[in-house]
Amino acid sequence: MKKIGNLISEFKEYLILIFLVIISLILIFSNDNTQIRFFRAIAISSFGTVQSGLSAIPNVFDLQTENKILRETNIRLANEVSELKESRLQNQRLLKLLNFKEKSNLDVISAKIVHKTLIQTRNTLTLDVGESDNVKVGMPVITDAGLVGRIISASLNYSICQIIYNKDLKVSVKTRRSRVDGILNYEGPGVISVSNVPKSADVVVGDLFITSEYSNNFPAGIPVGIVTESGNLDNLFKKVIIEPAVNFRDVEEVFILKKIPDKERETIEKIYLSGN
Amino acid sequence: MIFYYLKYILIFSVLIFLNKTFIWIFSISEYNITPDFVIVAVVYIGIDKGKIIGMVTGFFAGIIMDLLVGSFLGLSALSYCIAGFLAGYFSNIETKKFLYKHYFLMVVFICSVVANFLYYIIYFQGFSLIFLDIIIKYVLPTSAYTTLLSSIYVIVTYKKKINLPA
Repeated sequence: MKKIGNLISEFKEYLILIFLVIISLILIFSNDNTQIRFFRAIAISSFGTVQSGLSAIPNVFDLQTENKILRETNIRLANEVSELKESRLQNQRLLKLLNFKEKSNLDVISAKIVHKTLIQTRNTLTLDVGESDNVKVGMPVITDAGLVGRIISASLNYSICQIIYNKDLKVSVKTRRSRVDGILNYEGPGVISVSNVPKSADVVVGDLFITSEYSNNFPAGIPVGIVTESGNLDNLFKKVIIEPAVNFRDVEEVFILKKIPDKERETIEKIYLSGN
Repeated sequence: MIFYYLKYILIFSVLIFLNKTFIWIFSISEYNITPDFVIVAVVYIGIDKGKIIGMVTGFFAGIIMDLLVGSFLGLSALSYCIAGFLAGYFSNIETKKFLYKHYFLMVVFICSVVANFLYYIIYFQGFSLIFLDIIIKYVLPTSAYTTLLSSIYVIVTYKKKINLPA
């Protein structure tokens, strides 16, 4: 017994190291655990409060420039709204003629970005709205320029948005011009590609990719990015690189669409896929 | 005694806050290089107080970082814990002089390379990045930049005299 005690005492540093390493590995492998998510939500919520206050500091210096840009954007958007109203009326008339059901308008929640990471490989935004503002996990996040990402975590007053510069976010997309489908991937440092594009597909530099109807997570038609490089990846597929429609470096405000993935569709697709 | 621990808790809180909120000031975003102030403090504690205190401090600092960053929980804890343990190897009467000399930078670099290696190897699982890319683009630049910024500490404390027992 004394020998064991001496042995433990002699190797206590290594035993503690092994213990801490095991704890770390357990934590790494249980990242999706509900309790861990709960603790993370509390940490993010507390830290978000501090960051929310600090986020105003740099804005003080940029207010004049920002106001000018906002005024210009406002005029441009007012024109666009006017054009869109006209288009909507025309669209309603055509839909009625074709006897289609009118798609319901989606409500939005506006949110301010209180923190963002752009240089990691799993980048996120921290938003100043949470469950108290009806934000739910899975809701898409957009700006007037296009797709930003989706909500992956929400506490009472803050939420985390997984952006397209994040390896874990895959989005079904298609080109607006030639309707070629693909899957949006984050390849790592600043590179966003579209995979599963056949070699023979009509995709050229300058084409705009938008969200596809195949996606259960995002409404169709949201601009995602413009093709900057289109070459051959191998004998079957193209290598397509895109520039995101949203300028993530400058964006400060986003909109959360009050749309959550269709559970029925998710369930039936999951059952079908698990059966294969 | 309470103030003694409070001092360290306060220092780590400030460094974690700095690392999380104002890191963009020190980042070289074109090359995805960000310094890590927390690891410098963990290495300091490791040299000053030994392996056990070094790795336990690293572990808890890492847990807090992981909770705030929103990435893998436990990953920073693992890498900081190993860094604190390694730094503890330099903890004896003679090598404590390292704390105030340029040798400190060498220890920071070694611990940083090992910690960043562990961190990025696990972090990039599933990416198309090759092993050499991870080393050249992430591990070495991040470690070198962290070491470079930790030289500020060495410059500040260069003239500090330490009373070490004979």
